[in-house]
Amino acid sequence: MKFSTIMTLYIRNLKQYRRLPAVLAFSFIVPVIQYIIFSNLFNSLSDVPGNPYGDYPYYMYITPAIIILTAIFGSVNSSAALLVDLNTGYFDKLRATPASLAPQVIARFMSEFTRLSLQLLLIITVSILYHKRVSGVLELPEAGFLGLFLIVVLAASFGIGVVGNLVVALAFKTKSEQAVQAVFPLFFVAVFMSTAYVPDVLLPDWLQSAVVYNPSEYLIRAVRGLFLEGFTDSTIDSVTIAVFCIIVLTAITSTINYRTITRSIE
Amino acid sequence: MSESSIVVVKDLEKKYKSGTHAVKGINFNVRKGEIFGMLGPNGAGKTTTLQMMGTLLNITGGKIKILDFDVESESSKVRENIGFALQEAGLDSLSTVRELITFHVKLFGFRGTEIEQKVEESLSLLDLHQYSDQMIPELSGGTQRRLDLAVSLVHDPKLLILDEPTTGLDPAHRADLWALLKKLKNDKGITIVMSTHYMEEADVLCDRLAIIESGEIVAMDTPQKLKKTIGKDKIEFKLSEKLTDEQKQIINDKFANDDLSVGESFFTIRVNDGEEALLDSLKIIIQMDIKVKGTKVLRPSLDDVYLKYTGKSLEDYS
Repeated sequence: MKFSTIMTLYIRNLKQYRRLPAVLAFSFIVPVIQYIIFSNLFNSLSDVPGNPYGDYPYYMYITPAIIILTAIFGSVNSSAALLVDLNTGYFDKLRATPASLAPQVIARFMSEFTRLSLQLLLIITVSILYHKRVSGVLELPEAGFLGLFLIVVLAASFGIGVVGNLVVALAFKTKSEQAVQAVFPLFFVAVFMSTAYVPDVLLPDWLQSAVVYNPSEYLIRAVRGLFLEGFTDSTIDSVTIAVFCIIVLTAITSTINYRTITRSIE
Repeated sequence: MSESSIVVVKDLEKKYKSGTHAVKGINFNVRKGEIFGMLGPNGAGKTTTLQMMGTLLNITGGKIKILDFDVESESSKVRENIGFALQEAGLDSLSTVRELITFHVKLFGFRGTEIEQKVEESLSLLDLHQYSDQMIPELSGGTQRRLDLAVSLVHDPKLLILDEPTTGLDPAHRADLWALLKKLKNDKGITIVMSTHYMEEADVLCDRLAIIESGEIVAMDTPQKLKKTIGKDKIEFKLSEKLTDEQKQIINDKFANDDLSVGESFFTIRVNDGEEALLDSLKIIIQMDIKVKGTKVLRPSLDDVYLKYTGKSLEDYS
């Protein structure tokens, strides 16, 4: 497997998105709309007695949730270009060239990671500009540039490693865009069943108990810590747990993905 | 591997986990510079065999060697040296013609000024200059096939594998593609292995042919020699009047050595070359004062060959 082959495929994959503007727009615009609507609709949540995040305006509280939602949206759509290749037979044609199977899959994940990282940077920029508009202050997340970098890497790794692997496996299995898009509500519900929009203590009792079993919760806690609190001990703990969750889940989904792809060529 | 063999297939088998035994221990060699065809109906095992040759499917039994490289253990070497056009022209629908060719040129490791030179060569070879900036879905089926060939040839492969290259094309585009494949063989010396279920295509294009049925090769030779196994050409004479007994006797005497078959108002003879023998035979018949209404030279077809070896007709598939 030559590195130059992977890079040629990687660049080609990124160029493909010039011709898929709707995919890019959809996975960016929906989280932005949700950000603006939720920020205004639930603004008074910050004033609820007992809210541990009452010192922050609500739009700042939900920014991590919107970042994760962008990662999930973007990852579900990461199958779009792959499905084009699978359904036109071009994926198989490339398999009979030096592109073969592994370089194609690696380059696909690399290009989707890049695209998603850029989309995440864009949504973070939107949140920073929104904050400036409301408060008049232009400021980075509490953890600074390093924190910003970590937020993007964590969210993109979760998106591509966990969601992307499942979506790619589904794309290979079904070759259907509809089937792939149908998984989005599952992740959407997972985000809602966490502290993404409402702090832990304000959730119903049953949901407070369920939240600990929700992997996306750990990612949201890590991103929120970096965004609002900076590199405190509790943030570092949250980031460590989030990294552990991403590694374990990526290992599981990669195995599923690997088996699905290899079965498709047996 | 013999010196002139580009492909050696030995005891090749493919069993799917579902239990389907798609290829059942086939053997064949493909010589350098020839067009080798696999003729058979859908589901005969042609595509499975070609996909195993092209490293697209795992081999479950036997061996394939291409240019002395083992397809299983040296698959990357095989991929560098072959061009493969699948049954459906598999092309990137999000590219223009030029972008796609350029990408394939880079994929095969060409760099710098070589890239543009190779792209221009490909556009010229397949006569695609006028489409170079068009998006691929806008191209006709025939042009997409040409582009598929162009990207399969950018690296000057020694072996080109084509899975039913003209399926879905109209007769004009089919004839164009045949001419192109002959040109590639004659001018560039490319060895071609192709599958088809069109008998005419197999007859016109292939130097040698394997007839494949239910995963087994039932006959393999040049199309001419395969047809020879059926027998001689048949000339059929339709007559204006019923033959008298005397005329029948004369015909029997004159064509006694030609496997004669005589009816009330027709008779047939079998000869080595029907078209060559037709005129001489007619002269003899006219001398006998027998009025001929029509003649027909029937040459053994590949369908006759297929029928002989499988008990089925391929014409239904064509």
